[in-house]
Amino acid sequence: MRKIDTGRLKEDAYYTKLPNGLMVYLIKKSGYSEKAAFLGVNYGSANIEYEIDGNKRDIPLGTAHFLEHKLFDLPDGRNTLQMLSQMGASPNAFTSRSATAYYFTCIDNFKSALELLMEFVFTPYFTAESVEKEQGIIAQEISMRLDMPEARVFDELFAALYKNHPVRHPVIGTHDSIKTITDKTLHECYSAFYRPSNMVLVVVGDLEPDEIEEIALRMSPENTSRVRNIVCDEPLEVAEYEKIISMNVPQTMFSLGIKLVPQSDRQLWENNCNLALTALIKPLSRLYGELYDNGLIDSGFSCAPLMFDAGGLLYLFGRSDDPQAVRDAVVEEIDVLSGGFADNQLFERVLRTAWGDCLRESDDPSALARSVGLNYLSGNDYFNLPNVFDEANSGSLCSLFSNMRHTSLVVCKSNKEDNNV
Amino acid sequence: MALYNARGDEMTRISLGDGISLACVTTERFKTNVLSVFLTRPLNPLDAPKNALIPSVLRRGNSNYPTLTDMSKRLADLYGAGLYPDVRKRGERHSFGLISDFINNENLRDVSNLLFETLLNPIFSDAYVLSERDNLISQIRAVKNNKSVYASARHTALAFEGEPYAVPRLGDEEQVAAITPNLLRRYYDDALSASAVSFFYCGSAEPESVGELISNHLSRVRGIALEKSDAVPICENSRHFFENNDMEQAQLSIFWRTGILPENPDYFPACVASAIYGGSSNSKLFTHVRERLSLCYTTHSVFDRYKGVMRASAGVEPSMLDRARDEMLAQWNNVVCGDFTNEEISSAKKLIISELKSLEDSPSALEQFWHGQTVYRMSSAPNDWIKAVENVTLADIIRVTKDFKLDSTYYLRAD
Repeated sequence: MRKIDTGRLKEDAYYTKLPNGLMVYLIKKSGYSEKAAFLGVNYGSANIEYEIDGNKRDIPLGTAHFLEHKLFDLPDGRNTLQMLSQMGASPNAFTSRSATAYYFTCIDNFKSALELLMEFVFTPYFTAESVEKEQGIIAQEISMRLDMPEARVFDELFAALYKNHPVRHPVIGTHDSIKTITDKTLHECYSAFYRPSNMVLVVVGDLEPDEIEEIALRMSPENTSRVRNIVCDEPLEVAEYEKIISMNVPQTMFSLGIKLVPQSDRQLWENNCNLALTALIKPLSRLYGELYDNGLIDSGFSCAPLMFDAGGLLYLFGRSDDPQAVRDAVVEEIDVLSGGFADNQLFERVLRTAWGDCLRESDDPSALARSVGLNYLSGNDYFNLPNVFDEANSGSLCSLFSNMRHTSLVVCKSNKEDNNV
Repeated sequence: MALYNARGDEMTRISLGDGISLACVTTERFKTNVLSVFLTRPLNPLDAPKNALIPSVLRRGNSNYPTLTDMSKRLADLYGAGLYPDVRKRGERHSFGLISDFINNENLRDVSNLLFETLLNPIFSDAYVLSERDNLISQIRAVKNNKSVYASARHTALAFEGEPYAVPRLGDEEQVAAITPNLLRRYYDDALSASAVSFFYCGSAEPESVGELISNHLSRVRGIALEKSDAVPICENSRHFFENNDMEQAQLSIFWRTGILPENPDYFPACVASAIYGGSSNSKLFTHVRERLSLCYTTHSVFDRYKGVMRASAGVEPSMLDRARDEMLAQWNNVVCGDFTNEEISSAKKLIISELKSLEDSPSALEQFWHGQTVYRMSSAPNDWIKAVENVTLADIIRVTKDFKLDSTYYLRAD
């Protein structure tokens, strides 16, 4: 493995790309007993079609997530979750709109746990019986999400912002769509997307580069070609400007999305979007203080940039009696900031805050592994962050703001009249 | 007294006066340093909402940085330091305070100045109190948005009615509404002179110098020691609670009481038993209720060492409630009867030990661990816990689980 110059990130990091195309990172944390592994696939719920022999095939909604659940099975009936637990590892997995990932943290038995993780991810095994059983479990997961207003306004916002982009569908699928998923569907999607050249392995902990490379080489299969990214014809305009849903909530909550236009230098763009969000509406900003003082948002407010193939958005979420007023204030502030930063210290403070967040995250092995892995899957290099920070300037943030023209607002109201604050 | 962990970090506890203590983990392993302060008082319905409200009011502004934006600018200037209000329910004790995390250790003096300005010279205006009071009410109501958290809150309130443990972490909404700015200011003055006060620091500075830095600010603070915790009453007959709520999925929650107090070494076998039952994807609840019967997506159990109670929960299809409950109780019965393998014991132990070891790799997890220890005046370190868990035997588990008494079952579902 080759050593990476990590600059002011001050990490002892290594990488190699195996002949089969699998990217492997090790971030060595001397003195840590916790170790983390992250095996990610550039395949998420937004990949709803693929090509085979020149023909396009549609994939049922929720297949990537279903596949994530079922990959833990092995043909000899070994229970991989149970085995990992017996080793003292805490395994888990997630599926997002753009990626699927399998990961664990542990103290001891790291090598056996990593071998097992790679074995089950690279050994697809699905039967009609086990698929049917999983439908029951996933149906409960769907019901659980339908009871969670935060999850509802999150999913509804994607549908409101995007007219064509497949991120508009929920990751988990629907009660109806998961019924159409069979063992054959899973096999076909697996062979289309789970290719080493479409994946990344990140390991964090007090470990040696040679041993990680050896395991990665031994446990991953021969290469097949890289999968092409999602291309879609998505207009600048949103599908729905404002959507109101009602459910059993004690008070009104909202999600607000600002639709972003991707730029060619993806990593610089993503980092600038994060800085812009900090300047716009994080606690440091003028607007946050104003909205908080006026009682339009409270400490439950949160925001994050969400990026995926061929798109991205700034996601704002909160409780408020007047979500429209929050939206109008945000839109107005975007307009002001696109003309320049009046407070000349703001940009420097934004940089320091974002850099502090970045270093804080790197103290946590599992958060660091995830961040390095997801950056790679979206075509970025985590260790290039210091350079991207150096390149940032207030002018490029202002021009980002001038491109933020389209928003969607989803409001979730109480379905009981007397319940609102 | 200094202790060392396996990684050579030094752990020191210093008394800074009656009822005022500092716990330090001295290490250069992390980029992040942590400094926190907590005031701890007995949990009761009247004071709980005040305790919950104070840290948010403090965080609004102090004499040097009077608004939220001023505070945020100052924190950004300190290289993106954080300052977070927090309130914690630890059994029947209630703690509130402020936690700061920051990158460069050279900022320690500036960060501690900001922390003490916030603690001791807050603005505490009527406007800040009233706006944070509204926010607290919103936060209390928001518990309803997560059905499994809501089920846990309701079950706790019903099962422990009349005991301090029934009081929710943020207090009850009616009690919050009754708080006035004057009342809160008076209460806070009292709290500063009659609470157990605990500081925590993790970073590379020497414990003595951190102690000095803190002592300089303590002229207005008086600490008191808290009483030892009381024995837990055990109900003779188990009870059932049924509630309705408009929702897709039903929630099921089961409480057991054990009478094991935080200082009792039986905590360790109890904790291993709970891990066998519902601690991981290898547990009885997960492998039977989820994987074998496909009855749910989430199911687990947790042992609360500060009250000596265990709670198991699951989110299930409403028509399957009874089946899920029967299976959950049957699986617990298997634990009590010793119907589990050596692998199940060893994997439960590994789970707990991994968590304890991982805790030493995280400044914020260390902060939470030492806060809990300080609140109950216990001095054992994560390493001591690891040894205690390793020594748990099958016989210990059977002996201890015999005294787990089923307290109540709670059902939450649509009409």
